Amino acid sequence: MLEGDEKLSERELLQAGYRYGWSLSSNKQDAEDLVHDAWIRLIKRYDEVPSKSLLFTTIRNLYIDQLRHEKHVIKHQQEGRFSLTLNSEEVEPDFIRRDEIQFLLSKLRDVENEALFLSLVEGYTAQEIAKMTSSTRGSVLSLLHRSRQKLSRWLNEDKLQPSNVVKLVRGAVKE
Amino acid sequence: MSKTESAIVDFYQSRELDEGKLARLLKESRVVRRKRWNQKILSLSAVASLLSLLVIGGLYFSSTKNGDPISVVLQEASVNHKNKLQLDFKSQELPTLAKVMDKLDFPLLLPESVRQQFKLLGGRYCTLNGNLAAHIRFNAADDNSEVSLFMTQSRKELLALANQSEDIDGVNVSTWVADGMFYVLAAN
Repeated sequence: MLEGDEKLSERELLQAGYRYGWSLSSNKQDAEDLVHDAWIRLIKRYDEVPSKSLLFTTIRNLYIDQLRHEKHVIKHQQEGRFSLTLNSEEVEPDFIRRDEIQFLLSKLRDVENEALFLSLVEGYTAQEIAKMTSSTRGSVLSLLHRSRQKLSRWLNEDKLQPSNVVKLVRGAVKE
Repeated sequence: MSKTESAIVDFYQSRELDEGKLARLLKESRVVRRKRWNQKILSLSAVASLLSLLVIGGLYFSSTKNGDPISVVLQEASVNHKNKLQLDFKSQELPTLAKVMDKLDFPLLLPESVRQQFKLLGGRYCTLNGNLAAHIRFNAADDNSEVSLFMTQSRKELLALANQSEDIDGVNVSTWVADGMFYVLAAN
């Protein structure tokens, strides 16, 4: 258990696991499957989920085992979905923003996405993320830096318009 | 936190398992937990049954090996023979020995085969399966080794112990019944 692992209710743990699954798979269905399989695996083994960090580690292991080879297909399918949604000029600005973030996150490498999630959303330190992902603190810091750079390059916050998002989705903006 | 980072946090916080899925997963957890406990109880029951079988088997084995009457009688004869306890009465004449061992509740009559093969040394009182018995010691004619004959009145419970032969700690012990007497012969 990591230092920052506070005692959470089962519902809170499940939601956190689901979000973490999202950060890895960038996909609702896979995130649901990941948190489901990891949760049941831990219940079978320990009768309860001992900590959030263990839940995350289990989700990560499952993801590596089961989903990595399908990643390309999943991302490709997502791009199609976004294009259809964002072509509409009538969508609400807030909705566009979330969708755009979702799309940009899905463009990041898995490990970058994961590091951003663990750092920004879960508040883990680079050292804790390194421990969870069997990496080094230096690598995590580098990942976080690179992913922020990519996002700021992709996302020109001042000029964000639905039409630009459509361009992003269609691959007009390259890394 | 920059706008982008805030947007990322906002995005992830907006991702939530819907209530229906959450409820189903929590329900499934309860089922898994129940199964897990059932399996645990089943495993513990299996271990307990195995231990019980081992204990019962052990008790049965020890009772049949060491606690049954035949084992006790053969063991008694073997120990008495090996210890070479001092004879209460020394005599090479059977009538003399029979006369002095007057506490016996049976006549001191030796089987013909024993009288012919062995030379009498003397006798002492002892018990066989809780009954007063005579321990008669002989010398074997051929190699001068000592032989013990234990005899007591044949009783109902002793009849079942007749015609046994076993090596107990290097002593060959045999039992038989003849003329209303129960005999045990022990020899190295």
